[in-house]
Amino acid sequence: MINLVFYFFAFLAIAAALYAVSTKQIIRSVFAMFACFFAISGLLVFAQSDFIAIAHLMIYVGGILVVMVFGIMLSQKASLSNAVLHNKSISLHQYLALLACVALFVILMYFFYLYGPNTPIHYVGSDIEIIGIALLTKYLLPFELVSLLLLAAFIFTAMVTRKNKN
Amino acid sequence: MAFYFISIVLLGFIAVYALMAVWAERKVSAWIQDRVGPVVTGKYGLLQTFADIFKMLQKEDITPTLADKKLFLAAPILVFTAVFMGFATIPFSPTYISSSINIGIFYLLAIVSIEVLGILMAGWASNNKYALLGSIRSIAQIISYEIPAALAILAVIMLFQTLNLQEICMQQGILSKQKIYFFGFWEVSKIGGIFAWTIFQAPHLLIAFVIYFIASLAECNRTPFDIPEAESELVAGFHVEYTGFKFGALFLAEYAMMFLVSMIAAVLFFGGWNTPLPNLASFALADYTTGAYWGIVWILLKALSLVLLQVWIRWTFPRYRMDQLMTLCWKVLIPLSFVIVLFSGIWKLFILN
Repeated sequence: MINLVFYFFAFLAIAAALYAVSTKQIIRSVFAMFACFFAISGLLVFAQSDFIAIAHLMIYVGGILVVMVFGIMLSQKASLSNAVLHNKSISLHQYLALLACVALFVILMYFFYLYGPNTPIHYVGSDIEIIGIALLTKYLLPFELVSLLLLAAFIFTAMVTRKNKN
Repeated sequence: MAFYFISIVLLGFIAVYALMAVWAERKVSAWIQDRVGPVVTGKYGLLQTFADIFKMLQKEDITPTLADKKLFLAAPILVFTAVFMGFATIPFSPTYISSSINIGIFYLLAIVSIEVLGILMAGWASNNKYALLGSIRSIAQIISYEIPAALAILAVIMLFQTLNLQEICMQQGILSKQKIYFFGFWEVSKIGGIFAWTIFQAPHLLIAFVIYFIASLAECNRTPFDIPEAESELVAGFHVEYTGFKFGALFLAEYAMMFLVSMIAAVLFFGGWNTPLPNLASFALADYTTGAYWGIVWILLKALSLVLLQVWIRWTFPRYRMDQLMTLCWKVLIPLSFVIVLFSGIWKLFILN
């Protein structure tokens, strides 16, 4: 029963991701991405990291996806249908994106082979106390760097909207 | 086993509650406006909404020709599922909780954002300008008001040091393992009752409740923040094209959402399943009225009173304009909630130590 649920989530993640990149309707591709993120959250619960699962749902669905749909809704339908979604020729920035994807996949596979499928999981619990203490001691520098990046993004957004007003 | 039992009972309860809430809404509005409301169907018009729902279910299920049919069908399902999922981590009594996970309140905040996506789906799929405008307004308001709501919740969980809703309830009554102080000076761990509730544990938490309550009104699209479905401007907002059963599902989700945010408020600020009666001298009222069945009674009473408050507010205040709504959120509530979070930290570090 539990295995069945796992395979359902795995299938949903892959099928939704494939649909998201193949469909011609941009809004459907965004909602397919929602299904994909939701399924990945489910898989994260299976990996015994429920805090990450919920954080994933909150950031990707509650933040990024909603902003994407918002952008689509505010743009005109005509300009959306004219937009070229499936360009045959690949430009430079697309090569860079492809390179980043391949690099991330290689790193992922490296860790997969490093630890193998039979490595026992050291479950430390999903207690927020452990996560909080780890973030503010062992991983303080990355945590602060990410906060700085977010602050920069905030200030930039405020600047952009103000420019548009004038 | 408890999981299946609670989910089935809850689904039935929400359906009956939604019907009674609509009836109560019409009755309360009638009393406020000096009318009598529904009186013909059943005693005091109690069967009015049952009659309405039977009429609604018989209606033809219409899908607009140019609508995105799959998304149009998926939207009500997604909205209702999201709201119903929220009830999984709500404790009903010291023993009845579907899922006592360590990240309960964080999970609830994530659930609200899934509901937002469902509203967007409904607005887009309808292919109607009023529906689209309604859902854009709805999202703008919900994602803005999520921030003060989350900060007000943060102020509470900073004091309790846990995200588990069952433990938050525990720490507000006589079953608490920690010591509880009434406004920081009077120990009430053994007295319990109304004195041990969150809003009386620190002076700033009453303000935190007010912020949370205002934000929750906005998240449910209730007056004075009902601009997403403002009848005079947008016909009915994002659900204007929906009929029959699909409309029923959206309507049910709206009332279930009201109940969900009231439940969260009851758990976080009003002691959850804890009794309001304190142990006074030899009258151990709190000991008598704490338990599995009493818990269900208390939490439902608290949540339903908050729903009644929402109804009362709807028929008392006029609707906000969009810019006034955003001004209230970004210039008043968010700075105030940051101050409250800061005050919570100070209280935890210096007063409770």
